[in-house]
Amino acid sequence: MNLLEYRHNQHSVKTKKFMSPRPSDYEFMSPEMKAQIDANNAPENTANTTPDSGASTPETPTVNSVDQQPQPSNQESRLDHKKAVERMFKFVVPETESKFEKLAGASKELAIELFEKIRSKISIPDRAKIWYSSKLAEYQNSRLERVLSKKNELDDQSTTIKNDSQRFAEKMQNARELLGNLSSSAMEAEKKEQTIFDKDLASLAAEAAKVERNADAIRRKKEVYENSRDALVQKGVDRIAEQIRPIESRVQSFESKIELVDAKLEQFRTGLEATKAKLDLAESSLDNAEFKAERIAFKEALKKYKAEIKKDEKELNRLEDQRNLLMDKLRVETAKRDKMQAKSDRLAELGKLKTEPITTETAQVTVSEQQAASEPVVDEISEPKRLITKSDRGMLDEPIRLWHSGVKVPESKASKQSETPEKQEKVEAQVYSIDMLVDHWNKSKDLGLRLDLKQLHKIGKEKFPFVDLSDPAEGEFENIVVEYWRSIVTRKFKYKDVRTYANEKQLVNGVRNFFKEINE
Amino acid sequence: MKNQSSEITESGLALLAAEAAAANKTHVEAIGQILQEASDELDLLSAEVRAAEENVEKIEKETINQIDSALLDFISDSDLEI
Repeated sequence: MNLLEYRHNQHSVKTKKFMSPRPSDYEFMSPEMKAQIDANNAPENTANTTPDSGASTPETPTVNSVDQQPQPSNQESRLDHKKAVERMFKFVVPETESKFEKLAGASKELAIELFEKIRSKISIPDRAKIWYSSKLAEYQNSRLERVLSKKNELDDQSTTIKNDSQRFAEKMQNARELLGNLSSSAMEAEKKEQTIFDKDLASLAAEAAKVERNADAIRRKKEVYENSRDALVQKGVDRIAEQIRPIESRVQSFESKIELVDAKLEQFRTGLEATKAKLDLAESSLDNAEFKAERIAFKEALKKYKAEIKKDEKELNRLEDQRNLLMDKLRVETAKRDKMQAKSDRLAELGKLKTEPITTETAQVTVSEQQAASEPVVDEISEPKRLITKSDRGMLDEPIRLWHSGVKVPESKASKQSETPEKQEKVEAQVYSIDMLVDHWNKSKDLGLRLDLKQLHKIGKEKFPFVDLSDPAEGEFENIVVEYWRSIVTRKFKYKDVRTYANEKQLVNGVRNFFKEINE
Repeated sequence: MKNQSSEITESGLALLAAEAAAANKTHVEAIGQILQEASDELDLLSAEVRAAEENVEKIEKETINQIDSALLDFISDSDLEI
């Protein structure tokens, strides 16, 4: 059974339950009633209402047309479903898959909706969409709304019964005033009726208390989930940092040895140069030699010493090559470390996200806006003022604004005061470089340098294949794609300064090579 | 005067060559030894990086699993009374 078939079957089940009680009713039913309804909806029972039995009615044609299809056995159905789920996505451990399998009804539908796009991908950014999806909050809100609406119904019923009870008491009081004492049978009837009112009220109060507990549990669940998700993200960041730390100290130890090698090489080189200079001086003094034999003797000696110096120079070059080879190897290792660091950074970035409450005002809040509101600027470059919004869709003539528009030097006095002039200079150079780059990119319509929205989407699709950019609800995650792209650009461009390009042509080539490098 | 100059040059030259040879030999040995230490350090670094890469992959998977699990707990209603 593939996903479409699974969905079709789910739809059939829904259709089949059309005549059944509403879900909200179902939720508050006793276990016995639920069991009865489930039994009525089971394939075995519906099979009894096939046309052969003559029990079908014109009101339920869809039910019958679906039920006429051959029904797989429960075991087959479960296996088919498991295969379909496995094809859709992959959980890391069986325990999680088991948790998924145990979900029922709307929860399972939601899980499938959330997970199906990521299929077998296992990476933090792939999962981020799910963890921080507004659909989760939406789902939990709707569940809370359902419970609260049930609570309101119960409160209304309770008010009605209280009013009835009060009216009943007034009427009985009126009867007592008009008739004097009530007869014993009337008093007995009054007592019975009053007991019914009291029982109804008590029963409603108990049900309302249960509903209230559920509402509290739902509210708590959101908080617990968000806290545990954020804590797990932070734990992941810390654990990766733990892995990187010993590498850092090893790199430092290696680099200090290389520094020592460099110092010794420098001494060696200086010594050789000095010896060479002295030999040159001695050679020039040969002109002062009085006898030819003397000159010959000196020349031969000098030749021998110079040959030895050449040998030493070769040795120096060999050592330098050896040193450079080690540095190349170090670069390979540090690139791997940087890759791990990037994973940690990406995770840390996700930890700053918050699931927003579902309101029309906050539905389009970007990652950066969330960060800006919750914490001070910590990066060398402040976050963009505005990333992509729904109104940006289709603005192909202003592609750069998607990820650039807010790049600026942090302006808070505190952060400026704490920065050294060197750091400020570095930040300014970096910002200037990106500004220049972006400005140039924007102007270079005919140079094939522009990254328009379509290209951005293409990159997003490659990096995050599960993102449905045509779905308006994906706006939030689209920002993550843009943010991801921007972070690569910022990181790669960190130490480049476009002011070093001497002229327009060099700048164009530099920019072109830079983006070629990134795209590769 | 010429003779004196060439005599000084001759003896100085021999001394210079001898001193330079000794110093260079010392440099080569010292640098070679530090390079060997750096190379050993790099081997250890490579091993640590390899181990860290494996661990980070494991951490990433564990984090994913734990958050997936928390998410499934979140959307499950089995712990509610409804």
